[in-house]
Amino acid sequence: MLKKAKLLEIFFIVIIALAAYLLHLKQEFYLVHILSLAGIYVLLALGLNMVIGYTGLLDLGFIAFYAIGAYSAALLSSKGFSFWAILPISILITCAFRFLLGKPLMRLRGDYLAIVTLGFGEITRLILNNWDALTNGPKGLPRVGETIRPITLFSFHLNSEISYFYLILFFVAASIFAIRRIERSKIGRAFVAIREDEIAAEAMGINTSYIKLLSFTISAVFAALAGVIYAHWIGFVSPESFSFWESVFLVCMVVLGGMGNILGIIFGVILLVGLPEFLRITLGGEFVLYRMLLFGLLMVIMTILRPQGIIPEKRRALELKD
Amino acid sequence: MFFAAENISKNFEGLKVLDHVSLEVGEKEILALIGPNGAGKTTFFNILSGIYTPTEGKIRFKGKSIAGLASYQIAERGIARTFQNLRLFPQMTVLENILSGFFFKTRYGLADALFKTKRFKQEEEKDVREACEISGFIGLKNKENELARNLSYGEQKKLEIARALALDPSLLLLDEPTAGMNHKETENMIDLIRKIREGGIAVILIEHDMKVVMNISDRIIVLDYGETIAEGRPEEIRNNEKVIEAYLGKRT
Repeated sequence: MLKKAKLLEIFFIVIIALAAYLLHLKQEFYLVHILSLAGIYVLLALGLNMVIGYTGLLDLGFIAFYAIGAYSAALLSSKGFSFWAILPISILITCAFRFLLGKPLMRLRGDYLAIVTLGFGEITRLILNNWDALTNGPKGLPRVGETIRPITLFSFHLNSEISYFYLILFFVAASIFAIRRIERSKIGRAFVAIREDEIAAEAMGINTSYIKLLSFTISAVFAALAGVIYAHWIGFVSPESFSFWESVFLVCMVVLGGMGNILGIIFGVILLVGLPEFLRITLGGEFVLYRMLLFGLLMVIMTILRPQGIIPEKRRALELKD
Repeated sequence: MFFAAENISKNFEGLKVLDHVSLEVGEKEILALIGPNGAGKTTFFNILSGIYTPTEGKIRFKGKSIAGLASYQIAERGIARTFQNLRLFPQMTVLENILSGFFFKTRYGLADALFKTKRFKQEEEKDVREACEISGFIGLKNKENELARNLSYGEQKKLEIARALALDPSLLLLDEPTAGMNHKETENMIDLIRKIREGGIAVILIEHDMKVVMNISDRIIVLDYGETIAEGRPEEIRNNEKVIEAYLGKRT
């Protein structure tokens, strides 16, 4: 039997899918595009939430792994690999990088971790910008004469905005499903225990450096997923998509929406992706120039009035056994 | 001996906090570690539970050396502890706090959790059942789904012990279990510690309340400036000149 909450979620997803289709019918392709973009950010924010929200590791360079996912996809695609082959390969590559960075990093705490991840993010961007032979530098990928092949799903080519939106929606739903399962296991509880008190967690028999590394590595799956889809959807990747600001933007989404709460994070993404678009439509294009100012103000107000986020974390009551 | 720490020394950048302190505990024994503030009691606990590594000395537990092991490995081997200032997981529920102690014993992996396998369900069900037993034993029945931070101070102290018991330890280190408690709560805590011992667990406790110490300990070790100054049964310690001197100063 499906539980009521689960039915509600499925209903919610169906509503979004139908709303997107309606926009598609009314030829509001730009809005569908924004919805897809929000979906990509949800994937990223879900991954980042695993480290920041659950495990309490402040990661300011998450976007680097989004970049690794997207670039590996672009490179593999121009070598003739299909999306379905690229997906697992890119996830593996991204997780490998994440693991290698995380391994020595897990000794660091708090601010130091934030600084090193920030540094890694910048290094990645600089490499993408300067390693012409591999990344084609600021000109981005694919190179002239090459293309990123469109995704095919059973002989059906995904080429419209709406088809990509459905693909993204599917992966978002699958990710939420998987994260829920992790969250509600001993592994998810260990993540939160480490966030709450690392020394106590260790004293309770939790190998904290291993579990932190696990959280750090798993989170890259979602970054890679977002990167691979992004590369195929847009058909082009360049270093400017992976700036430090994107990392900050992501952290804002997670913190604003509510760390540790999936619904909160989705809300945070919708707010930060949707708000500028809403303002662009209602107040005109120039207003978008001030969006960073607005985000800053929003963050200041939030930290004063509601530091736990718009929809804060809520621990699930477990069914008791007597 | 069941548990023995021999000649433990600890230096912090030249500052000698512990100087060749030895201690032995027998099975089901309650040993109290007392001494004035700054005597090195908590440092000693931190060494026994693997948070610090000793500069010198050996620790043997059930016939095996455990000095230099990581904190989580010592916990796995059956030495559990509580902290002087509460170190609960405040944003987690009472049940989740207790469940954290089952982490290393629970036999399922990430894949089991993702696919909700039979093993996952069985293990989770077993863990929750056992955690409920512990919460009942400790006196936190019907509080299982409350957040730890919403409990009263006395209940939080109890929860810390419950969490430690989840490790199914054979040695429990209690760092000032009755600190900040009123008379009634202290009485309850004494009963609880006795019950824990009856369940087959040896206890080492750091305690400042002499009523508690004299009441429940089989043996007492007195530390002052990182050295053992006395060791013996409660009535011996009560009249020991050196101990009185350490606490009250020299007689004039």
